Amino acid sequence: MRSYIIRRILQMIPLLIGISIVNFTIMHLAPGDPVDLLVERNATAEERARIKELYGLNDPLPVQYFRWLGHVLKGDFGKSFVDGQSVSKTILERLPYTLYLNFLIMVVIYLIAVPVGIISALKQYSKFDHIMTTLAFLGQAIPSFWIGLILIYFFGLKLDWLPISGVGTIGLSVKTAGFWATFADRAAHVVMPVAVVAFGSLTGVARYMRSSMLEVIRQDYVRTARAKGLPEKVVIVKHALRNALLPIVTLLGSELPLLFGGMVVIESIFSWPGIGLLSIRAILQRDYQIVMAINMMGAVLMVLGNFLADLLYVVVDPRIKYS
Amino acid sequence: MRKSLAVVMVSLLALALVLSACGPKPEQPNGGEPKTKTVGGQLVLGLTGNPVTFNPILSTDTTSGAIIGRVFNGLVRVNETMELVPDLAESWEFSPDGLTWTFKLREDVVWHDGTPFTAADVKYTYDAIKHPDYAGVRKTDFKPIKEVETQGDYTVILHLEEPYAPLLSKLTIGIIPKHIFETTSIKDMKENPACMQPIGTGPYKFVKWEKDQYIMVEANPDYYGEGPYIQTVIWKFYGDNQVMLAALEKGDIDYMGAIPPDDVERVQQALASTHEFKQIPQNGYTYIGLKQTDPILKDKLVRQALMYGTNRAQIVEEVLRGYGDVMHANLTPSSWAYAGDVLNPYEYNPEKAKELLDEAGWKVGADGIREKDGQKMNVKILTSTGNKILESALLITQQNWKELGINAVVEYIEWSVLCAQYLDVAKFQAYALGWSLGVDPDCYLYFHSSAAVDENGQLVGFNDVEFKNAELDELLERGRTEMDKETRKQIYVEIQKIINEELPYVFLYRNNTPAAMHKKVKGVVWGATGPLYPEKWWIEE
Repeated sequence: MRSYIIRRILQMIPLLIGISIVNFTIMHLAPGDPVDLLVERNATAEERARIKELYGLNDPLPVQYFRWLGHVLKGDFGKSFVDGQSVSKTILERLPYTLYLNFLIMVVIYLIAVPVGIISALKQYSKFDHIMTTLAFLGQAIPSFWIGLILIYFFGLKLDWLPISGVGTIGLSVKTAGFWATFADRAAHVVMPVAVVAFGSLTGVARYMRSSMLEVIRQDYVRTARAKGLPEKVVIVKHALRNALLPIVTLLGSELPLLFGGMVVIESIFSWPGIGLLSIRAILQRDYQIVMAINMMGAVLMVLGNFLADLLYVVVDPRIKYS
Repeated sequence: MRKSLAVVMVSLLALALVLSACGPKPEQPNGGEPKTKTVGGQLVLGLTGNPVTFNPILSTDTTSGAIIGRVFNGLVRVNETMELVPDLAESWEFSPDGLTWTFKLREDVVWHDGTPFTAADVKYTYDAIKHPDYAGVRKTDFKPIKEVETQGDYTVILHLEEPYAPLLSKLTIGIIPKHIFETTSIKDMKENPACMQPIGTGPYKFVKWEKDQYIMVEANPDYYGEGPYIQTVIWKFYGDNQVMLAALEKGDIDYMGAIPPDDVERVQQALASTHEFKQIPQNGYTYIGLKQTDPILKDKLVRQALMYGTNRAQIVEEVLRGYGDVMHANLTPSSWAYAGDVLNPYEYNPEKAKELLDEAGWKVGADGIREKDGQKMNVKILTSTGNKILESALLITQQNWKELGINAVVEYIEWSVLCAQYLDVAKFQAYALGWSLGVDPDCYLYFHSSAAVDENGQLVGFNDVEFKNAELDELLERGRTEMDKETRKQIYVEIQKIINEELPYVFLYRNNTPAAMHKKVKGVVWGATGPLYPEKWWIEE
């Protein structure tokens, strides 16, 4: 097992380098570069060349790539071409907001989706199952920006129950208003974004849970458990559920990158200062350093997430062994 | 009897003024009814977009501009009729040959950190823009300056390469503090912390910026001019216009500058009692650029047919919901040099358009598309993605042109690709975009033949349609060197007439964006292009 883990970690290195090369190349192949957006549109060729020289954009691509890689290995993601600020600082400023929102979303999704999936499976084709299936399709089909605007309209404007945007009231902090008032304020701000994303995504997990449960309760060992006269509760919770949860646990592992990922639509609707707005802007402005940093963060998390999922298999399923 | 009542009223008002003078600052009773300006309060403004930098010489976006305008001052500023009036410069004079401009600076100005403002700051700012390592968009504006000279602490002399009247309007740019920025090289200027935490001379001091959340500034008690009265100004960020509108209705923000035209009527009704609604005319316009060398579009008759055959009034009525004006040439009614009625308005007349096309030799073919010498009348219009108003306007245009027998296709392309692959190399047949204009009517870079493409195929100015007209060239050159405003106005009227006749573009419209300001905000001066003099506003709860 230990050699397996070491081998997997070693395999990640060439994989990540490969991803970074592909990312770097694609980004530089896109038309336009940051200098085009910095200088005047009618700047002369010499003026452009001089500015490109200052930013090291005149060098051949491989030279630029290895320079970038060298800095990254030292932990330096460089400075933004557009505003001159440190890339790591810019990302770290926003990461807490993204993590905070995504963590709450995940918790809500799993708290609702798992029981809903189980009940749907146990009462297959019941009224509850039909309602849940319909809601599931609605959640997937309705665009989140639309739900977001509707919620803002009703709960923010008409009923005036919730604040419509932002992370908190400006100027309100633990210092000025005390812990509980601040907590209530922050909570009120996060309700709508969490609700919108959770509604759109929990259906996926719920359907997953439902089919996994359906598969398990048809297994021989569940029939055996029933046959030997165990109470239904024990059959479901102890024999069926534990096995049905297996794929869900591994799903969690592969969702790790999602926890760090931005959501452009939600962030712009609810004015949430997350990673999504930062990355879309960086792409449009060809701010290479920020785009690369965000892409690499995604790549590392994806690779780690998959690795984690594989390890979780071993933990939850004794039949699987790596050597 | 009446007269004596009036006398009593006036003395009562005068008494009230005297009494109130102890507390809040009273306004000079210059004829109007006296008002009391309260000091304090908070103004919250809606903001879309993300400011990039608060350094006036590096900033390019209007979002940063709004904040920079309150924190920094230029030598001159624009007044409500779009004329240039003193700001940091008290007065100025031009030498008779127009080559030496002398500015006398105010002596009572201090930076927000307490350092006195001097001529050295002005020199530093202009020299930075002229530095070869400067990566920003003001270089062309300042090229005519040969040297910036200072005389003592409060006199700046600009030596010009050649007389260049439009320069004065560029001196609205905010002056940056030398003592703060000289510690970084020009190349690394944007890394200076003062780009994020600006120190200016303006009525408001920067407090903080929470990225994509809000920006806060507070009143500068040492400001040299009148005001400021409002203590705190906050810009709240909104990523979506509909959400900002909801925030306005909910009362989260006091001002919204661009209400979507489709929502104006409803919002105006809902907020009639609490908000004041104004139209903010844009000093800019939207157009379809026509490549003057294109086999189809090189014919003036065809270009005029396109003007007559595009229902621009319908676009303004239906797409802009009446919040806009039809454009006939390259200056807007906001400009002091606007030609007005002498221009041909090209009112929608499809019959006339068809006649012109017939006259030009384009006959309707079997499939309904016009053709000439075996060539079909196909026009491809390129445009950038993401402008809904323009998209709707182009749908109408496309339909109008189809009725004339022209097969028009619209292609949407991402902005940086559109620039890099089509506009900056001047390779296209037609494209639709907008210009936002400066205060000065100079349009040399757009229509002078030397601003077109050089021998290497590189675009020199913005004359990407390659419009070339000797008479216009001469007028454009004179417009730059002539220093007398009245003479310049006549020159620019002539320029507009030629452009209106020759049509490098199909001129479409300018939009006037509907804006709403809460009625508790008093003293707002509505200028030609928006609310002005924010330091003189005050809040009356």
